[in-house]
Amino acid sequence: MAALGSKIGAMDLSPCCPPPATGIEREIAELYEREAGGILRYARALAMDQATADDALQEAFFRFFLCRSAGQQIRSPKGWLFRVAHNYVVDQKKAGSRNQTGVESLTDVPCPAHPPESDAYVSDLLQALPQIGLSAREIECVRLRTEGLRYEEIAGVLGLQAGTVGAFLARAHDKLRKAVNGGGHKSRHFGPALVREKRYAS
Amino acid sequence: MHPSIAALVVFCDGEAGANRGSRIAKHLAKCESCRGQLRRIRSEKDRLSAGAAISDVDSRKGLAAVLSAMADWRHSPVGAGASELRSRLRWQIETYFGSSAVAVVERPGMPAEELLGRASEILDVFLGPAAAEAVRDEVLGGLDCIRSEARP
Repeated sequence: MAALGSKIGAMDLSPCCPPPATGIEREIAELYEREAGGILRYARALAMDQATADDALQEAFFRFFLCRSAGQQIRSPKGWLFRVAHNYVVDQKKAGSRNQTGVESLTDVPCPAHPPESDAYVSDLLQALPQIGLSAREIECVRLRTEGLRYEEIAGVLGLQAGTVGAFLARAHDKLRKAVNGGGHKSRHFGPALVREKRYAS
Repeated sequence: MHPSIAALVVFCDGEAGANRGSRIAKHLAKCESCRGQLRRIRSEKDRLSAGAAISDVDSRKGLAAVLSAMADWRHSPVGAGASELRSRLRWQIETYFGSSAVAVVERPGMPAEELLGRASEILDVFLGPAAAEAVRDEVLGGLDCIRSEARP
C-alpha cells in the first residue's frame, strides 16, 4: 500500500486542460441539439416509460458536463451518452424505482417513441421486430444502429465486442428478410407493417 | 464465391474494413445477385432508419434544464450535489487505494469536478479504462442535480 501511495504521489495529477466553461456549454448545446432526440427514443423504447427516459437523457448530459469539467476527454460523445442513458435505464429497472415491467423487453408494449399519428408505418416496423423473433439484444443493436451509432459505439453501449454487434445485426436482417418473404413461422405478425410499407412506397 | 449476407450487412454499414470492403466491392461490381441482396439490405435499413428521423423531443426545454443544472452547479461549488460527489469520490479512493491516498489526491478547497478529474486519472492508471468508467458511473449516478420541474 505504501508503494501504491508513493506511486500516486508521484503522478502529475493536474487534470488535462478542461475546456473553458462557455466552451463546455456550447459543446453540450450542440450535442444536445444533435443527439437528444435519438437518446430519448432509445431510452423510451428500453424503459417503456417516458419519465425514466427523460431522466436518462438529463442524467447523461449532466454527467457529460461533470466529466468534461473534470478534464476527461471523451472520444465518442455520442456513444458515451447512449451508454450512460442505457445504464441508467437498466439500473432503474433493476431498482424497480419507476417501472412496472420486466427488464427483458423492448417487446410487446407499443413503443411510445412515436405518437400514434406520427408515422404508423415506421412505428409498426420497429414494433414488429420482436414478433418476428428478434432477441432483445438484436433489437437493441438495430435500434442503436438506426440512431446512427457505429459498431464500436454500439459495442460500448451494450458491453459487447464490435464483431458481435455485426453478427447480431446480420442475424436481425436475416430474420427480417425471412419475415418479409413469408418464410418465418411468426411472419403473420409482421403483416400489418408490410401492408403499410406498400402503401407508403406507392 | 459470394459474400455472406452477414458480410453484406457489415459492408452496407461501412464497417467491413478496407481490405474486406474492397474485396466485397470488387465482387459486387460483377455480381448482379449480390447487388440485389445489397439493395434489399439497404432498403431494410432505410425503412428502419426512417423511424429515427422523426424528432419528437422538445430540445429547447430539455436543454434549458441541463444548462440550468450546470449553472447551479457552477454557482454553488459547496452545494449538496458537489458535497455528495466529493464524499462518493473519497469513499472510492479509500476503497481502492487506502485512506492515505485521499490526502494525496484531494487538496483543501478543491472543486468537486477537479477531484473527479484527479481521481479519474488514478483510476484509469490503476484499474484500467473500463473499470475506471464503471467506477465513474457509480460515483456520478443519481446525483440528482436537475430539478424535476425543469425536465422536458
